[in-house]
Amino acid sequence: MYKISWHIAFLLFTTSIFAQRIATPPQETIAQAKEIRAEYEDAKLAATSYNQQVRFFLDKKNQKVAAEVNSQQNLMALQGDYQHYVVQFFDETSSISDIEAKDSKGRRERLDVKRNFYEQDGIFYSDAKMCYFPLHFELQGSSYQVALQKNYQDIRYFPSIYFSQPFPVQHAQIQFTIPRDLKIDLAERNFEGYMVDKKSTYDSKEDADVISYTLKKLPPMTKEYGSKGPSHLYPHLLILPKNFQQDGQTVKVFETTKDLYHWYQSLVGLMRNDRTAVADLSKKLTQNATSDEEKIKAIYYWVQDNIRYIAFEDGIAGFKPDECQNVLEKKYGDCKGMANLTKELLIAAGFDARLTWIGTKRLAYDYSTPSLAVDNHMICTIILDDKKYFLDATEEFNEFGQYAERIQGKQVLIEDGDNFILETVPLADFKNNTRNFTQNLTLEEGNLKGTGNYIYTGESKANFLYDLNSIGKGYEEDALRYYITDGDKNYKATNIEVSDIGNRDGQMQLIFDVNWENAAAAFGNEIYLNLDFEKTLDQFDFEDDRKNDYLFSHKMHQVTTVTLDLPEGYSATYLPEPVDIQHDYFSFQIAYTQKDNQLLYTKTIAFPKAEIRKEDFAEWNKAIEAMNKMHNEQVVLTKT
Amino acid sequence: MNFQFISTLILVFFTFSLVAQNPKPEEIRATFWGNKAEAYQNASLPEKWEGESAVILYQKIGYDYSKVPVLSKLNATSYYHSRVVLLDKAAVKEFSEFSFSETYSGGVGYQRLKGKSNVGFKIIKPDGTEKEVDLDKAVEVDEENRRDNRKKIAIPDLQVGDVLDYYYQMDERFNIVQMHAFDPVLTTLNQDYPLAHQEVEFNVGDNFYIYFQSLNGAPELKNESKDGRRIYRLVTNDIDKNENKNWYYPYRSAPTLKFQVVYSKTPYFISYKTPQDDTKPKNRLTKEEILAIYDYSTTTSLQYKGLKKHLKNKGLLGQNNEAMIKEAYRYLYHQLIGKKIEKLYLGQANISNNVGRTLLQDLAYFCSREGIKRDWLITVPREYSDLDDVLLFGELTTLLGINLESENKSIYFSSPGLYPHYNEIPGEYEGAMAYVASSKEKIKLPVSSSKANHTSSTTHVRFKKDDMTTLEVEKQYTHKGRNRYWYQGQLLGPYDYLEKEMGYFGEALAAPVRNSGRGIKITQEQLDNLKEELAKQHEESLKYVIEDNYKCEISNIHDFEVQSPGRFFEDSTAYSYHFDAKGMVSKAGPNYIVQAGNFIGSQVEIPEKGMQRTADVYMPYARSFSERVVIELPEGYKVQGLQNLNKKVANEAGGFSSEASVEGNQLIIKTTKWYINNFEPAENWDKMLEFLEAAYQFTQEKVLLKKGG
Repeated sequence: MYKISWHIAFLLFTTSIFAQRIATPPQETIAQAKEIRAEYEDAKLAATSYNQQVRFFLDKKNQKVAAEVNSQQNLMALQGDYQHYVVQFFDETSSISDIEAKDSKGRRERLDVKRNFYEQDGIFYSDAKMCYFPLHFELQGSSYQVALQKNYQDIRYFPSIYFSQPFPVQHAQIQFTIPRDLKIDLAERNFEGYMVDKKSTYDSKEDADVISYTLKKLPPMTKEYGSKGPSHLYPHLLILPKNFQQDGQTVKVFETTKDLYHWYQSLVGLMRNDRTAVADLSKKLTQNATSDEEKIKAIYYWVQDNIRYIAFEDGIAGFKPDECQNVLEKKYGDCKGMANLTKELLIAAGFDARLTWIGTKRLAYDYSTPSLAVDNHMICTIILDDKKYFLDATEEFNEFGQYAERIQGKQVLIEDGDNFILETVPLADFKNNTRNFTQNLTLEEGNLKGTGNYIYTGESKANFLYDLNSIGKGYEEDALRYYITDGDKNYKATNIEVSDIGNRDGQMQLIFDVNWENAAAAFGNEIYLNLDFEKTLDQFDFEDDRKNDYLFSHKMHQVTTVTLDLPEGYSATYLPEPVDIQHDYFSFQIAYTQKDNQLLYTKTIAFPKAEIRKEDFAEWNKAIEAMNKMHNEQVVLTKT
Repeated sequence: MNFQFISTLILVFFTFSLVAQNPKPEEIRATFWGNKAEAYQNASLPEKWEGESAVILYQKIGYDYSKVPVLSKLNATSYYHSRVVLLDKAAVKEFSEFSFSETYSGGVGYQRLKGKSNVGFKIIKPDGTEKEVDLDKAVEVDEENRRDNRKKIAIPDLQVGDVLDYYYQMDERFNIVQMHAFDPVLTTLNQDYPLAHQEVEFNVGDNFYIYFQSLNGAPELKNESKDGRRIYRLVTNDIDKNENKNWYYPYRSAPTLKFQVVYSKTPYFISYKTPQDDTKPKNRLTKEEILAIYDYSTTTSLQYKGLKKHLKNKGLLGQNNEAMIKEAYRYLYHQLIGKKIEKLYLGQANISNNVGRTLLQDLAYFCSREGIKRDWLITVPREYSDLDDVLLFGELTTLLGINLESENKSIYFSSPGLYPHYNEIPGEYEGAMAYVASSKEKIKLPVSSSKANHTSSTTHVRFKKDDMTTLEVEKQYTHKGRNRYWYQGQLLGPYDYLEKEMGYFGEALAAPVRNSGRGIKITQEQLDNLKEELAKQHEESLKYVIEDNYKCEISNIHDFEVQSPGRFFEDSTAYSYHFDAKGMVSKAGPNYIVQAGNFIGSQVEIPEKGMQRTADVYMPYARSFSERVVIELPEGYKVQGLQNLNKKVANEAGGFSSEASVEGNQLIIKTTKWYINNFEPAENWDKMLEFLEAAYQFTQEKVLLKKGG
């Protein structure tokens, strides 16, 4: 963001010192706080109870099912002198009201409630807002009861409700009141491992089913780098509104996936695409192409290159794509706008292209559940000779026919007139994302000299191209040098040549001359050296307290080969033991071999599923240790 | 990237303001985009910069200030106008989103400042077609602070090869009483992108005083006054983008501008004792003006009585020797800063920015009353300027010098912060020129020697019994002089020194007061939280310091112990700790390779690109380091390769020397590195490289532990 800042504000913070009587919590409360703290070392606050009552009702005027959620949070400090911000999110379809907080003696607090936009990384503008206020807890065991109401105008925009919070919750209850003229299903997710108490009763006065879920001892939601999205991790309920009765008629909401599709289609139908606006461009882009594939690439790559991803998530614009002529004019758009422009350019070129909804890997759902919770992304599908290709122009350097890890294996909903098509984005083989690093070296007075060569394919290439293009031409050479040398003064790279960094097709290549100083040490008639410059994953072990599986950005396959011409008269008299670890989720194979007058070092690392599961952490750590041991050993060359 | 074409050095006085006038947006637009200047109309990309990410083809910064006739008001317009050609996708992204405030309010405390701004963006396609950006598409992004009306806009239809032409103009109106000083500016001409043409223009009426200076090859202002308006313009072409270097003071080496505009009804304002001239820009403060910055006649001191009593109790009053001054300094520091430190950490007290200055005034007052010769020294940090080039009052600093005639000794004081610095001029002033307030003489401030700023360390290394590749390391550091500042900040916490310092004055650390009703309270929880937080911070800091020094896997850090915090009259900060290190020993069959040189800690690494240098080398201060490493050799192993550990380079800029020997079952390595000066001219860079490279190379040297060898 290029920010215009004209004045610098000098803020002088003063701490207000005011007198206040402190209510000392009872001993048993302090003991409880200590007990929870002992279990969750980093937690500074817990909810002894967090109850939510969800009441659905029919908003006859707007013909929508609406919901009112009343919540009561009993918050307790696990350490004294702690300030906690109560934060609630809302947007154009929801509101927060009736906020109050009482201390342990039932006295109402004066609250400084603020509302503001919730600015998120990567989203230019969104109608998401937050309502927040601070609460100060004087002592360990100090508590507040916070109550508030959140209203949803349309149940479609209330697709799920979670039990967990960013802090431990000792007792979480969600109670639903569902009038019998509304058909709403609740789908339980990630309940395994929790004691769930579910009760169903009938409230004759309201003619409603009352369903309550109680879960106990919920750990806090954790922010761990490389974790899956919350829908994979935490217990929650999907709220699935099926239909409602009005004037003796059954009105469908999302009874089936077809209803969801029809709703999406109705929004797509609101678009007024001006196909004439894109016709010229489509023609221009494809006029020199000699095959369908070349035409598709010309269009797809043009959108990737020329349309910037800038997301506006504002009300219905969060679901309705922007018209193709607007996106073309602005040269920016969100995923929907980019998918729509891609589609229209392809149609103008005579292809069968369709808008396609998808939930990325972050979401744990597929289209067997008709809900707005199941997708978060739109791409374009092209059907060519009965084969479907998926085009995601938000992936700036994705090659045609290759798919980003975040959508691989995910179900897609493809438009098909009144019907829809469900397909799955193919999973790519990890070898598709290979990074080959080859060095051919000779030894000259303690330095290893020769050539280096990197070759990238698939996502390893797409990521590298993205990084390099983000840096800017003026700094490209420095960036490449830094990338190759990792800032190590001993490893000097000169005559760096890189293949066209605007080209997505085929492989990307980086070649350079190497002068690796201080790489070998000579003692008497012996030379000691280690040919692994990178020492990949050197300290990449998982801590015992990590809670979640670890996701890599993509499936990886790195092959390193170093060939050293042995100095005359020398041969290897000690080679470290090879490492060969094979696991479904990772493999490491490292070995030195001597062949004639050459010493060969080969290392192959693969993460075929782009994921390390928590249950495999111990094995992973052992593998890392074995690899480190190898990295830390020296080859001995002896003059014979 | 942060876009800030003015960098504010100091903030002077804002006067009260009214709502600004409201020029019409279309007039403003016409002014910018109707610019007839050749450099703007025919701005083109120089061939040599075709490989850059973006190039600023034209940039104009302007200040247009007028007095409103009859009324005591100023109209102030400032603007920025730029034409930038975007040469790659990175640049398109960088310039594709802007945020701005349409109106804003600001200022300090009750002194409010209000203004209205206008922005405009247009895109010029390579074929010359122009497209203006519709500002109605900007979105509001801050509901809470509606007065500032902060907005964001995404620039549409922006592609590689396009030129983005944009401006930002701010119109303000100020109420004035006597004078108004606009924000001072200190900036280099180099920016993040190369700059083909730049103009800076001042357009002012009577009674506006322009202070302006071009440094290090930046062009001078030209007088283009006409129609009763004073117009001054600076034009500069062909400026390369910024580059980062080690030990580099950009305002001393790169083309730099320094300026400030002041409105005053009379030619006497701020602390000028001589009439100022509004008919031409002024480019330097005179000696008299510099000396008049501060009223040196200290007439009272709130601490005086207490201080006298304290010194009397200590039996030092009247001795007029350094022992008395030391005690006086300790007392004043304690009263003004020391006793508040714990409460500051607890969030229950403030230590104002002026307190250091108050301390110097109190000390000066005390000296005056006791008949001890003292003087104020007015100087400027080396980073900003030479004393002869001072233009803005904000550049100046006042130090206190005390002359102890009986001991034939001068001692110096600068404003202290959380750490007292008795008789230590911070490196930024060392060797700078200063005016002596009483005699008006110009003197050179003393420069400390490399020996005065010395770090010595001892490293004791043992091989772990069951894993020879893991080392158990015991480290002892002693930092003297200015070398201790950074480590004090990183590794010491208030509880490492406060108890003793408070105890010296018969005071104690904070005790919890619970449920005390009215008044300030400190609870046990607050104290516990603070100690927990400090311990956590310390753990992280220490890990960072060790890892940064050794660049290998560090674990099991324990037994950190402070022997001397080095705050008052202990001459050093000394501490020790233990840790385990992995990655410095490699197995090689039955033998081990030990990166013995690495034990002295990481050394300055000059990258290939930094080997050539045209800019002078400004370092913080002269300094030296000595290391003694003792490696316990495991039984059954012999060392080979000691010859690699003996080096010596010494020249007029500094040096590095090392020697290694085996004594009994110990390998002993001793090294020394020293930087003789705090400044080296660029032509001495090769000399510096000689010892910097020798020291780096030493860290790469290895020895062999040969089994049974």
